[in-house]
Amino acid sequence: MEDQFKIAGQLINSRFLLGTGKFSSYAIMRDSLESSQAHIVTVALRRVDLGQKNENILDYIPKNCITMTNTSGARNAEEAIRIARLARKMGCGNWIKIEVIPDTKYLLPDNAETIKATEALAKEGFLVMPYMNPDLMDARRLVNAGAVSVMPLGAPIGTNKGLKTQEMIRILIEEIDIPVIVDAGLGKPSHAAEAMELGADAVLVNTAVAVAVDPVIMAQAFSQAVIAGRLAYLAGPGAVKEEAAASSPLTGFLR
Amino acid sequence: MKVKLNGKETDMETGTTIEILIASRKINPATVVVELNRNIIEPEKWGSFIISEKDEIEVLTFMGGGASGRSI
Repeated sequence: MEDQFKIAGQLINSRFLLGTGKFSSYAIMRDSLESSQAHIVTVALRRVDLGQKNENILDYIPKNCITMTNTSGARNAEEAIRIARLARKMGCGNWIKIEVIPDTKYLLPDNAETIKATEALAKEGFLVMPYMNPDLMDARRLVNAGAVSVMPLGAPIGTNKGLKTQEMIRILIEEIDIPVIVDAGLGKPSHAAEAMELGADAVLVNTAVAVAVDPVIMAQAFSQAVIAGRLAYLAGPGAVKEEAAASSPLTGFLR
Repeated sequence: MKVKLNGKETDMETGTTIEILIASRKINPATVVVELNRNIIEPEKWGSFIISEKDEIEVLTFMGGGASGRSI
C-alpha cells in the first residue's frame, strides 16, 4: 500500500520527527537519529559559548535530514520572528517550528502569538510548523495564516504523560486538512502508536528518547511504534464491544 | 571600549571588526550567525563592520533542542 507523507508538497520519508535536545552527547544523539530514521530533526538557536570550543551539531546530523530550527525561548511573536530570521541565515532552509512559550511552569504555548508569528513568517517564505494547544478555532486560524502543519501538544513538554489531549487532537485530525503532528508529552512508544492509530499524520518526540537509559534503542522503538500505529490506522481497527465475541468457530466442538 | 557581547558587558579594542572578533574567539565562521544591534550582519560584511562603543552583539549557533528554554 502506498502511503506517502507530504508536508508543503514535499515528500517526508518518516512520520517520526526527533528533537535533538537533552542527549548526553552529540555522538549518542547522532546514533539515535540514525536508529530513529527520522527525516525531520529539530534544533535550537542559542548564544555561542565564547569561553570554550563549540562543537558543530550539524556535523552530527545525517545529511539526508531536514534540519528544522525551533523558536524555543521566544515569549511572544516578535521574538519568534527574530529567531526564525536568524536561523534561516544558518543556511538550513526555510523550515521553522514556531514555539511561543510565555509560561515557565507548564511550558504551554501562546496560541494567539503563535498565529501572529505564523502569519508573518509564512509571508516571508518560511515553511511554518506551529506548536500549539489543540484548539480547533486556533488550528483553523493557523491554517489561514499559512502554516504547513499544526503541532498540537499531547501533554506538557518533557512530562512523558502521553496523549492527555486525545479528544481535542481527534477533532483536529478530523477537521484540519494540513498534517497534524502530535508534539510534546509522548513518553513511551505506545503513546506514539496511540496518536498514530488515532490518525495523526506524524509525531515529534525528544525527551522520551534523549533521557531513556538507551536512547539509541528507544529511538528505534518509537520509530517502529509510529509505523505500527500508522498501519493500524490504515487497516481500520474493529469495533469495541461490551460482550465477548468468540474468535474460534462455535460449532464442531469435541465433547 | 565597552560593548555587550552575548548579553555580557565586555571590553573590546577600538577598531575591532566582526571578522576580527570571530577569529579572535576561535569561532568557526560557518557555524554562527551574527546580529549587531538587532540587525543580522551577512558574513561577507563582517570585515567592514567596525564595532562601536555600547554596541550589542549576538553570536548564535545551533544547539540540541526539542523545546523550551531561553535563547537570546
